[in-house]
This record gives sequence, structure tokens and C-alpha cells, in this order.
Amino acid sequence: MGEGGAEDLRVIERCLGGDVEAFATLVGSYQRQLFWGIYHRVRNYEDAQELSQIVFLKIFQNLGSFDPDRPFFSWAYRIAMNESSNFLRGRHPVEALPENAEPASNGPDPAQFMEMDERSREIHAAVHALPAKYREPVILCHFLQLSYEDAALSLELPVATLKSRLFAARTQLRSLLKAHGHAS
Amino acid sequence: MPPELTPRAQDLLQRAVDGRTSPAERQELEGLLRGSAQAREELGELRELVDALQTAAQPPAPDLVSAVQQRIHQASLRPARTRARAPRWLLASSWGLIAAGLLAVVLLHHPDPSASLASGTMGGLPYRNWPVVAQAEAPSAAVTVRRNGGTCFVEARIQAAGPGPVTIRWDPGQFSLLNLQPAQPPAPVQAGPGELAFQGPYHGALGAVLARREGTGPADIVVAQDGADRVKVTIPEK
Repeated sequence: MGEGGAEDLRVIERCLGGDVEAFATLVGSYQRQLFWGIYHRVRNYEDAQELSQIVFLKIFQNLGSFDPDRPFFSWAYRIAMNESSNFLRGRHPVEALPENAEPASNGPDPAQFMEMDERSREIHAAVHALPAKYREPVILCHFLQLSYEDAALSLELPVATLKSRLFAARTQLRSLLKAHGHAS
Repeated sequence: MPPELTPRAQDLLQRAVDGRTSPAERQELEGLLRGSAQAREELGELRELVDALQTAAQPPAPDLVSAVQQRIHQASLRPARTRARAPRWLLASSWGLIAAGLLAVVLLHHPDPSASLASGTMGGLPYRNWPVVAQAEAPSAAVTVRRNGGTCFVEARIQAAGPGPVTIRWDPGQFSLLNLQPAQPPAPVQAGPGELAFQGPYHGALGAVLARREGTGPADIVVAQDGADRVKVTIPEK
């Protein structure tokens, strides 16, 4: 991530050197992207808050294994997605959800937090209706505003595959939105 | 996509809305747009969609900085030692030695051993409501393990005061520590992967939230006091 990457490395070195407070810089830099990345996976605001904290603790504890040749966000995002998947797998038996149930949305209404207008809510609903392999590129490239390259690294995909999925996702999104009576 | 647009044209239009075309491609795009009403319409619709997606992008997230820092301090967390080859930039600095981190070590005094520590919540479900998967008792200690998916809450109740430290041990290959219950000012006395040490004399209840790693086989959690194992529980296969 360019200059940010060099700054990230400096902060990580400080953390590994015992400067715990330095970690606040990394949390501040990436909390928005990781929180919303997690939110889009678990679709519950409170769960996303708790999981985000846990993810940052895991990131902190594993800073020693971070590969400096890789962008920090893509490494952190993989941790976040793994934790989110573990969380969703663990939640199903407790809440007795059907095997293929969509993640529950029993927390506060996300729209209340996002203060979204109706159009934005429709966009989010359409994105969530996409198959996962198309949904994630949209979330990373549009909602989290990553470049093709960083999104591809985060999803561990070739850039060409990322682009292909993103473009296909847009085509599907237009169809979904048109089906709901909105010209895209 | 309308059938008359070639894959190349579609790719150009998609990259154009992302601003990812080269000067040569922009020329090619201009030619395409001049000659195809369908391409112009397609580009307009794509731009409208991408604008809508950008508008729907997320507002600021909740501020996690202070909460994360607080939890790091409460559990006395440090970056853990990595088994992987240390990167060059790390080897070149003295940070590597320090990075061979300590896990959590805390001193927790709880005045009432009968009080429940299970006051935390994960996934909207309080620890105390997680299903019990293993229990064990000894004259001086009792351990209850609750599980919620890949996460376990281990609650140990120490019934008798002792001069030595109380430890909770687990296989670090199977579990990693997420946090501790209750949140009290820590006083580290010992550290190591897979082990929490609580300085004695101790009389009370303590707990740890452990995340299951990839392993799915049975796993032991041992509570020791004054250097002797008091209770061992085996968490069943995942």
C-alpha cells in the first residue's frame, strides 16, 4: 500500500519492540475497512463490533508473523474473514439456524447506524444478494475502496480473476436493481 | 450486456468507469463510443451504478482504538513468537528478540469464588449461556468449559487459598487466548504460549476465553496450583 505500507512497517516494528501504544495507529488506520468488511460478512452491527476487537487482538498477537512483502491490509483482512467464518460456523448450532441460513440480522438495524437513504439500502441489499464470489470484490473495490491489486491480494486471487468477478458482479447488480424497478 | 458488444468492448467500458484505461485505450474507447449507441448507453448505466455504489460506501466505523488498547492492557498481550522464518527487516533489528512475545499473565483477585465470571458476551450470547462441553472438579478447584462454535470459555474456580501461583494450561497448537474474565488490573508474573499464571495466594474464580485453532481432536485444559495439577478437563472432539 505504498507510503502507507512503509509507515505500517515502522509501526509494526515499534509494536514488536514493546511499544504497545503504537498499535493504536494501526487500529485507527484500518478499523473502518476491517469493521465494515466484517459487518458485511456477519451482518450484525454488534457482532461486527465485538469481532473487530477480537480480530485486532489477534492481529496484534500475530504481528511477529506478518510478511512485510505483503500489504498489511490484505493480511489483516484474511484474519478478519477467517474469524468471521469461525464465528458464523460457531453461531449456527447455538442459535439453531438451518444449515444454509443467511447470517442473522438480529442486532440494531444497520440502516439506523449508517443513516442510509433508501437507494443506498437497496444497493446494499442487492450486493448481499450476490453470490459470495461476486459480492466480495464489490465490497472491497467499492465499499472499502481498495484498488484491483489490493482487493485481489486480500482475496488471494489473480488480478484478472478479481476484475472478471467484479465486472460480472456489476452486470448482475444492474439486473437485480432493474428487477426491483430501478434503472441503474 | 447487449450481444453486439464484444468482450474487449465490455472490458474497456468497465475499466473506463474505474478510471483504469491507458491513453491508447482511451483513444480506442472514444472510437467505440463514437460508433456505438449501445456502448454509450452501456457506459452511462455502468457509471450510474458505480456512482451509486460509491455513494453507498460505508460511513466511519465505530471507534475501536480505545477498546482494543484497553483489552490489550487488561490481558497484558504481546505479539507472540512466530515459528515462521523471521523476515529480513525484523532480523536486522533488535525488535525480533522482543517480538518473541509473552502471552497473557495476570493477577486476578476475586473476593467471592461463587460469583460467576461469565459476564462477557460474544455474538450476542453471554458466555454463561454457552453449552457446557466439559467439567471437572477436585477438592481445591473446579473447571467448566463452555463452547460456542470455535470459541471456548474456560472458567476455573479455586476453592482453597494457596501461596503459589495458579495456572491454566492448554495446548497452544489447538487454542489461542482471546481475552480474560473478569477485567481486572493485571500483574504479570509469568508468561508463555498456552499458559496463564495467576500469582498466589489466590482464592476466587478466574476465566479465559480461548479460540479453537484448526485442530479438531480432543484437547486438555489443566488447572494447577502450587505447582501441582489439580484439575484436568478434556474438551471433546470438535
